[in-house]
Amino acid sequence: MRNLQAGEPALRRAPAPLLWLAGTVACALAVPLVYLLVRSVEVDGATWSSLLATQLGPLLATTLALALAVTVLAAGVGTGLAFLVERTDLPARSLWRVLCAMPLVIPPYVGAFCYLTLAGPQGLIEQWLAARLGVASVPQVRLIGFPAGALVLVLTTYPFVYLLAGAQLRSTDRGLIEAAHACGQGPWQTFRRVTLPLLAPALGAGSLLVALYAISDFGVVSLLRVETFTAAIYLQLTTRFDRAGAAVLSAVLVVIALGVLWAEQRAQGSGRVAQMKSGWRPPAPVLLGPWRLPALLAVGTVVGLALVLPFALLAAWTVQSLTDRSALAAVWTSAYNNVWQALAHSLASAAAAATIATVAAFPVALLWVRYPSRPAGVFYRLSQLGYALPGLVVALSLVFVGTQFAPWLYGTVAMVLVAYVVRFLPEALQGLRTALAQLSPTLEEASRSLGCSPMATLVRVSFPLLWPSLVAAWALVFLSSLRELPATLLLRPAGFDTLPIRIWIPASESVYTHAAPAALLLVLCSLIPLAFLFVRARTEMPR
Amino acid sequence: MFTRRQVLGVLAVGGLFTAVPSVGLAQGGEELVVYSGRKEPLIQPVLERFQKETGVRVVLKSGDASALANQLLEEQKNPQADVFVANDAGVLGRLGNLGVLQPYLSASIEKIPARYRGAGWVGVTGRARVIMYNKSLIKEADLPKSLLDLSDPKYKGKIAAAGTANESMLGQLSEMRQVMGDEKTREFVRSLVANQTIFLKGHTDVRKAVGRGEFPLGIVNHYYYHLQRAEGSPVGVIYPDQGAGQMGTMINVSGVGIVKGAKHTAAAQRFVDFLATAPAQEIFAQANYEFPLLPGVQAQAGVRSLGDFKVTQVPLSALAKEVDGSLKLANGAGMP
Repeated sequence: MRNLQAGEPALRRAPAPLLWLAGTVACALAVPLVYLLVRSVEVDGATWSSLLATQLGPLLATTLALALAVTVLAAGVGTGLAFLVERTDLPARSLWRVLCAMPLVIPPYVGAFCYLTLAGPQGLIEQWLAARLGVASVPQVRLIGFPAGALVLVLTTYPFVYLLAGAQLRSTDRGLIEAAHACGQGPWQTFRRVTLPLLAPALGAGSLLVALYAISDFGVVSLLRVETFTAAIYLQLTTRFDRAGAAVLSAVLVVIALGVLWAEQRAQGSGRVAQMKSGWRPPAPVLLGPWRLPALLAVGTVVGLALVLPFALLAAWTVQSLTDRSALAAVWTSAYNNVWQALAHSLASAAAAATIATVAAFPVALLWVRYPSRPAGVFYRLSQLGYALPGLVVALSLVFVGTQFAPWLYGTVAMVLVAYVVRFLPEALQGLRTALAQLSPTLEEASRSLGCSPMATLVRVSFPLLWPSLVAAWALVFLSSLRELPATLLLRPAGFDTLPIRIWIPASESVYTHAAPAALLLVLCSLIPLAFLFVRARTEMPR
Repeated sequence: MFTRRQVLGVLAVGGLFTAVPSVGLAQGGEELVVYSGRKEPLIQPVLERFQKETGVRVVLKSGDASALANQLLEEQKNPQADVFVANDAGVLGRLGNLGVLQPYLSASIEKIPARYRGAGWVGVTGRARVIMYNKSLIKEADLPKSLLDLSDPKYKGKIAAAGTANESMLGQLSEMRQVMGDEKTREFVRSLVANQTIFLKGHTDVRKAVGRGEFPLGIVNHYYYHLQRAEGSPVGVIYPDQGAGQMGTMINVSGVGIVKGAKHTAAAQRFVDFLATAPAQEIFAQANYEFPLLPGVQAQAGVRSLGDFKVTQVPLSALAKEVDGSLKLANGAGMP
């Protein structure tokens, strides 16, 4: 559409190689999902009906209830924190601003693991209470299952909402607030009628991320025993000698995830907010007055539970693993699957996946931004599918495709890398698309008019300008791949355990000291790319 | 800014280069790829000993036995594993029947009694299905004598067990079906469910729950009782169904099989032979209180010997074809 506007060059035809490249990437990414759906349709009617009759109802109810509860609570917590940090005179705001985003370094399943060691059966809390009361156990204080799963998911995913809402709150013009006050609106009415509508797009995007995560989560629900789709699929995979049930449940789960994605896009399209850019002033902070202490307490509680507590627990368990001889031998110095090997495998596979995903995403983004057309749009959307696919489902479809068409690939590290790329390429794609859209085509045209070939233009003009965005896209995929659990669990070859696997295996056997060191290493590794992304995001935000 | 870019750029390229060689090129020397469905701490000492004695480099993949069995089935066209270690004769037998395992017999394997071997697999250690109890929660007089006693309403809310995700529990149900038929087994499962039996994720959870006094009774493999006792809990053990006319205590084995098409068959054979020798049998017996299957190797002090008690007369090779049926039966009767 844009290309037909006055002043812009007429619609250009995409170079054939670019079209082919983008098409290949998109089709390669879509193959696993399509094949999974084919397999699930081929499953005989009896399996379908018995699964639908016995399992589907409760699974749907639990999965949707969990997604809803987590999304609503995370949106509330994230928005509340963002408002307190960005719009009030909360003491030490700039410190809290960073701390509130920090729980992003804790993968949700690590959060669940920490929760188990603290409040699970015979966790520290129960042990302490039992010792005080002089009894063997106090089952009443155990909190496991749905509420525990929801709590852990909220505490580990609210930063998605917090970051997006915070950016919006920071960039709102003071004039709008003042206008509301001038019209006689009180602070609460101003919040409801001005701030909240302005926040809606950011809230929608953040909530979508949270909802998709809650639907696709595997680690938290498995460790804390919440009977959702992913848990049921994993049970099917591990106990049945037949993949039919898993294929059927996965297909249903994919439909749900696509439904959430679709609903969000509809919602986003309907309400648009425009702000005038010139004469922008930062909004004046709301004075908390007597509410300062309660506000401080609230922010402190969230940060304490979501960040400080997990860190302290992991550190304590790690120290214990160093002092315990059997743990020391099993975790740190064992000849197979020790944490150092796992660390090397994690870093190498995440780096490789990040590089492949960034390179592969580039032609798709370039085609869509520079030469928009129907095929370009199809390729772009196909490449985004992985966004809605739970890792377990990606893994299962790759198992199908791999064993059927590429047995030489199945059971190799390449398969793990493919899973990472399918799942996380959309993260790179979105960043690259935005960056390319901001890069004026006139620069490239100038280069072309000065006699540079398209390739030389790309290398000498576009790449240098896009470099920061490329690095950011790389870092994002690297971070996600680093902490990927379910696909790695199913697809890794023998001897290629990553840090998440080294957390998962001992944690599911309830050997906490063996799981903590890998968890701590993983969290520390996540800090570096995350700090980079955070600094970059802050420097790019308006003022 | 520039240094950070450079660092990340180098990381990207370096990542690719480190990922590739760590995959493609194995370090020198012979290699053995082990898929193990046993708990990692239990298999590690044996692997370490094997590696030290033979110089064969062991590559380990741990997981659920059934999940790994599924993977072996999928990899049939291009086998990745050399040997499969599992915690249940049913899973091994199943793979053997499906042609995933290759038969192997040697002088050292023949020393393991034939009733602990099957098509393509050989038993390594034995385990008995027992009832463990917490001495401070239940009086001697109130203890069940038979697994079937657990249907008694007086044990309502007092039993912990593993669910159908656990191969040993499925194996137990398969044996019960062989002895007393589907209908009575279904009734037994129903009564367990009616008695509000708590089905936990695995036997470690069960033994800990009984050990710390959440439940008076737990259905486990015998070594879980010993592991819990070693932690100092006041627990006791019942070998059920020992009376005249009763079915006897059920036993199962952990075992090993060589994968058909294995890339390192010679190393795999050495490994299987090694597991049938006294040193390996002793490691399992000492570290995990299991019954050594090689005659002449002593069980850990305080553990009963295989010959000491009445054993259910069901051949282990019969379990393989029952797995699916038992799963369906248990799920249908309400066991998760």
